[in-house]
Amino acid sequence: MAGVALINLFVFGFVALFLYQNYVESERSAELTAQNLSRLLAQDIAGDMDKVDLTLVSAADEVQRQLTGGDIDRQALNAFLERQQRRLPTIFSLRITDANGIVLLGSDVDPAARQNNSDREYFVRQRDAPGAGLVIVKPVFTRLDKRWAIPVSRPIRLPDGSFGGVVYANISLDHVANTLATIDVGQHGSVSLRDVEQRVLAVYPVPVDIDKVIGEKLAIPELQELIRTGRDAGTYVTAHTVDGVERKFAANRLPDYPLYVVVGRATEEYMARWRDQALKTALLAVLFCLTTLVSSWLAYRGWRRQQVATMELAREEEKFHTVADYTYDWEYWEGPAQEILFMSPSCERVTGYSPSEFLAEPDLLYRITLPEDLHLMTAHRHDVEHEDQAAVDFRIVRRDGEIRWIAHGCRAVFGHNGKFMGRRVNNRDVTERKQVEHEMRLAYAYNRSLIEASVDPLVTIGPDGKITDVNSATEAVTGRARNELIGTEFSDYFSDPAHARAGYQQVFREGRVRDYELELRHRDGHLTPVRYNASIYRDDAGQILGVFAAARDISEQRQAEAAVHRLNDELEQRVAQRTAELEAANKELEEFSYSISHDLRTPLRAISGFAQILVDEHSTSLDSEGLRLLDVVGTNTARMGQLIDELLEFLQLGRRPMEFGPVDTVQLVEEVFAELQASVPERRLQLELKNPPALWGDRTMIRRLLKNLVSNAIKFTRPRRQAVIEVGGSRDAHEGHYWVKDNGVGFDMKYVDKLFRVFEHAHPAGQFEGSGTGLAMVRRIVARHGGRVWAEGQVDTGSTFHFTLPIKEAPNGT
Amino acid sequence: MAHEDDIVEILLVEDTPADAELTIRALKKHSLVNSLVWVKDGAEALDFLFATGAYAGRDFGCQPKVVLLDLRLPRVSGIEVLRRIKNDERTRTIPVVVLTSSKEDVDIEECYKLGVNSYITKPVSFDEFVKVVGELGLYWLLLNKIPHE
Repeated sequence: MAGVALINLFVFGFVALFLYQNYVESERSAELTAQNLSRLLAQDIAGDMDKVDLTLVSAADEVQRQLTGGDIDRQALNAFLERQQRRLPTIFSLRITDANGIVLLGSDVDPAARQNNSDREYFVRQRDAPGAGLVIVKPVFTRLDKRWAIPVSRPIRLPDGSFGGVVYANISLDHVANTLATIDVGQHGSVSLRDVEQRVLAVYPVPVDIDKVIGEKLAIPELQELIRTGRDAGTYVTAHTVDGVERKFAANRLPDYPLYVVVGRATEEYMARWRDQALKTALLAVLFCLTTLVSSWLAYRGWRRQQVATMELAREEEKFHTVADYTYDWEYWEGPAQEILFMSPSCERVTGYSPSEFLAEPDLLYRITLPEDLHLMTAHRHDVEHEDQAAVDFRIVRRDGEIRWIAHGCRAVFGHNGKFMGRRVNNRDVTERKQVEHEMRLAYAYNRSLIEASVDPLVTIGPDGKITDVNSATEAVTGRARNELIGTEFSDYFSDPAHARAGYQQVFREGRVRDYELELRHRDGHLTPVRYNASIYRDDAGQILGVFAAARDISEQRQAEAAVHRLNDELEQRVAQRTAELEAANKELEEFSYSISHDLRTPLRAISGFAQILVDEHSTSLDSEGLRLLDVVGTNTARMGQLIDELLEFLQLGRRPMEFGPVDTVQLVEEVFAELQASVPERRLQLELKNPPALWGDRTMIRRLLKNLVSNAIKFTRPRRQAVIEVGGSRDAHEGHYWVKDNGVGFDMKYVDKLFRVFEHAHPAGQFEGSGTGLAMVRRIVARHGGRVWAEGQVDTGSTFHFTLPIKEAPNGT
Repeated sequence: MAHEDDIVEILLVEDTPADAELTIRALKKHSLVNSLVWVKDGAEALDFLFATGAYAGRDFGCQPKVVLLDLRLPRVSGIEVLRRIKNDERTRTIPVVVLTSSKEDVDIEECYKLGVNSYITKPVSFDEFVKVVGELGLYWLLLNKIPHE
C-alpha cells in the first residue's frame, strides 16, 4: 500500500510539475504570440502610415511648388489630390486648408462653402508649432464626411517659409479597425492603437459606445511605465481594462511613429488549452490513482485470502495432529493393503512399543497378541471383510510382559470418491474394566446363588405389576419355569389376585409390607399359604425400580398354629377346671379357717370356761395337785387360743387383697416401736434408725411385717440390759433393701432354715414366748410383695433380718 | 300393759349349750339374767321376735332390751336373723349385739352393713369372757336407752 501511495504521490507530483511547466510555457507562448502580433501590427500600421505620410508630403510639395509658381491650379491640384487619395484606401479624404483653416482643396470640397477647420487639433498644432512635421491627432467625427477618422497632417509652407495651411488626410477609422482585426486575438482578446498619451485611437473589437472610448485616455500603469522608459516593446498582465477582463497585453511602438499597438489576449482564452490539458491530465492521474488503488486492493484481498487459507490450512494441520497424536487410546490407520499408515503415539503407553516399531513391523500387533486370543483376531479379520465396522476384545502381552485387555474397534475408511482407504482402528486398554466386570460377574453369581439358595420364594415386581425376576423356590412353589413367570402379572399366581395386587400396590405406596398373607397357586392347583415381606428397591439415583418380595411358606406354621389353638383350648379347659378346683379349694380353705375361728374356739372356750368354773366354784373339793392341773389346763387353753388367732391371721394374709401405696418407713418403724415399747415398759430399748428409705407396698402388711421383726428383736434381746435395735436400708433402681438388727441372743446359722417356717423355732420351746408364726408371716408378706427375705445371726451376738421390696413405682421423698 | 311373764330383757341366740351356759353364768355373775330367753337357732329367734310359730301368742309389742346373737346357727344363720330384724320397721330398733367366735373381717363388715349395734368376739379365756359379757350386759340393759312406743 505504501508503495502504491508513493507511486501515486510521484505521479501526482510529476503531473503537477508537468502542468506547471506547461502553464509557464503557455504563459510564455501567449506572451510571445501577443508580442509578435503587436509587433506585426505595429509594422503593418507603420507601413500604412508611411504611405499616408508620403502622400501628405507629396501633396504639400505640390502645393508649395505651385505656390512657388505663383498661383495654384486648383483643378490640377484637386485632380492630384484625388489621384493620391485613390491610391490610398487607408484614407477617405485628402484635403488642404489655408492658413486660416478654411478647407480649400480636396475631394468633395466646395471652396465656396468655406469650411473652417481652424478649430481642429491638427490645424491648431500645425499652426502653433511650425516645425511639427507629421501630426497625428486623436480621431474625430469629420464634418464633411460624417465619418470617424484619424486626422494626419503636414504643414504647407509658403515660399516665404511661413505657415500657409495644412494638408491633411483622414485615415478611416474603420480601415484601421479592419487592420487591427486581421489578427486573431480570440473572442475576448483586444487590439488597440494608442498614442503616447495613451489615448485610444482605434480599437478592435469596436465598442458600441465608440465615442466614449475613442480619443479617451485610458491609462494603464504598465503601459505608461513602458512609454515613460521609452522602450519599444513590453508585455504585462492586467485587468485594468474597460470590460474588466483579465488579459495579457503586449505593447509595441510603431517604428518611427509615437504610436503603440497594444494586443491583449484574455487569460481565460489563451490558458483554455492548458486548462483543457490540465483537466485531462488530472483526470488521467485520478484514473491512474483509482486504477492503482483498486488493483492494489484486489491484490491485497487476494493476498489476505491466501493468507487466511494458509492459516486455515495450518490450523487444520494442527487440528489433524491434535486429533491424531493426542488420542488417549491406541489408534491407527491401516491401509488397503493392511500396511500401517498412521500410528498414534499413545500406542506406546498401551503396549510399550513405539509408533515407529509398529510402522516398521506390520505384524507386530499379531506378535504381541496373546496366543490364546489370536483366533479372536482371525475371526475379527474375517468379520471386517464383510462389515464396515466391528469390534473384538482380546489380550496383548506388553513389552514388559504384562497382559492387558484391549477393546479393539475398527471401521472402514472411504475417500471422497468412495474409494476404500483401509480401516481406522481404536484400541482401548480395558484391563481394569475387565477386572471389574469379572468381579461383578463373581459378585453377581454369588448374589444369584444366595437368591437361588433361599428356600423362600423370592420375586421382584416392576411398577406395572409384572414379574421381573424369580428364584428357583418360586419356580418350585408355582410349578412354572422362570421364563414362564417373568413378564407375567404377579397377582395371577395367587388364590386371591385382587388381594395380591393390593399387596404390591401397598408396597409401592408405603415402601414395605410385613407379614402379608396370601396363598400361592401351583400349576396343579394346590395352594401354599405364604406370608410376604416386601419392600421397594431403588437404583443408585434413588429411583424406584420395583418391589422385592420374599414369601415364607407358612403351611407348617399354620399347622403348628392349629395345634397351638387346639392345645390352647385344651389348656383353657384345664385351666378352667383347675381354677374351679382352686376356687373350690379356696372355698374349703375359707371354710376351714372359718371353722377354726369359730368351731375350734368354741370347745376351747368351754374347756377354759368350765375349768375356771371348777376352780371358782369347786376349789374346796380339790387338793392342791388338782388345782395345779386345772391351772395347766387354763394355761394351755389360753395358749391354744393365741395359736388359733395367729394361725388365722397368717391364713388371712394369703387371702387379703393388697392395696399398694407409698409408705414412710421411718414413721412406721417409730410408730410400731413405740407401741411395742409400751407393752414392755420395764425394758430398756434403744431404736437406731439408719435411714431406711421409703417403700412401696400394702401399708397394713408392711406394718405387720415391721412389727413382727421389731417385736422379734425386742423378744430376743430380753437378756440384755440395754437392747439396741437398728433399722436401716438402701435403695437402687429396682428394689429397696431393709434390715433390722439386734444385739440379742442371736442364733446358730445351721438352724437358719427353720426360722421362717410356721410353728418352728430356732430356740428351745419355752425359752422365748411365741407361736412361731411371726417370721413365717414376715416371709409371706415379703413374698406377696415380690421380695426376698433372709437372716444372719451369731449365737450371743445378735441377729440381722433382711428383706427386699421391689420398687414398682418410684416413691418420692423418704 | 304387758304381762309380767312377757317381759324379756335378753334374747340369747346360741346353738352351743356350753357357750350358752357360760354366757348365762357370766350374766348371772352380774345378776343380769332375770328375764333371759335362750333360743337355739335362727328360726326360733325369728319366731320369738316376730311372734310366730311356737311364739305365736307372744306379745309383739314387748321386745327384749338386747339380742345376743351368735352367727354360726343351724337353720337360719345369724346374719339372716340380723337382716330380718333390721329390715323390719317393727324390730329395727331392737339392739342386736353379735356375740361370736368369728373374727372374720367379712362377718364384721357384713354385720355392720346390716345395722348391728355391736360386734363382740367371744374371748377364749373364761375370765375375759365373763368380764366382756358382764360389761355388755350392764351396758345394754342398764345404761342404754331405747325409744319407747
